[in-house]
Amino acid sequence: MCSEGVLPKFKHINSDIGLKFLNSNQKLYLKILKSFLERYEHLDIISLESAELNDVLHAIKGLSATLGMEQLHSLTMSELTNDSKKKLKESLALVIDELKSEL
Amino acid sequence: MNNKKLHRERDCFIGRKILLTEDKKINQLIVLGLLEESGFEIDIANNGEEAVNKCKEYNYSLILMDIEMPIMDGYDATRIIRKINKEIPIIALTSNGTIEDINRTKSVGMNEHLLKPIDLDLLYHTFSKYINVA
Repeated sequence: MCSEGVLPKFKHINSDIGLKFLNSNQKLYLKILKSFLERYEHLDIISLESAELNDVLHAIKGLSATLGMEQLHSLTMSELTNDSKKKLKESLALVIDELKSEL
Repeated sequence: MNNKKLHRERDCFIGRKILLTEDKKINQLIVLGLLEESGFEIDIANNGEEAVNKCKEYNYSLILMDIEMPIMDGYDATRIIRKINKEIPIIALTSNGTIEDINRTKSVGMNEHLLKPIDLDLLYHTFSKYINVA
């Protein structure tokens, strides 16, 4: 659990990239990471229907790039198959678990 | 962005009202956070239809337009806004960056196509290009 306003050391999130895209504004970066956690904590990618899945992936594609979630972002760029959905779910779970424990 | 430049541009943008059209709350937070010290007053539309309605009520200095949105997307919103206002700068702000995406935003009448993640320097450069600061 991080102290108020202190950026934790992440393993699955490159905070240098995230801070770069958020103008080195650590407070804003933490706020957006918390918002990402709240929004996607209970998401099950595998169970989503096509239209909703596309919408969610489109959102995660942009957000993961902005926030420095490199592995997750690269998976959102690949062709969608059952295997890639499984990998996306696993990668998102790693990020969510880390945010839950560190924020 | 260096502080001197930011302060100079902020002075020029104070009191200007722009419209952010974006359906995702988290993306709204990012733009609002990045532009917190810009001097702009920022109005929000949660989809293209809201953007069209707001543009009928107020003459904004500029519109930031997401593309993929529910109810009405950024392409349709721009087509309608262009029928009532040919001059207002409309800047696409999207994760979609293929040549086809860029050509499509231009074909419906958007002035620029900027990508997410947001390059703040490029965003300010675009504001300065389209907003008359004289």
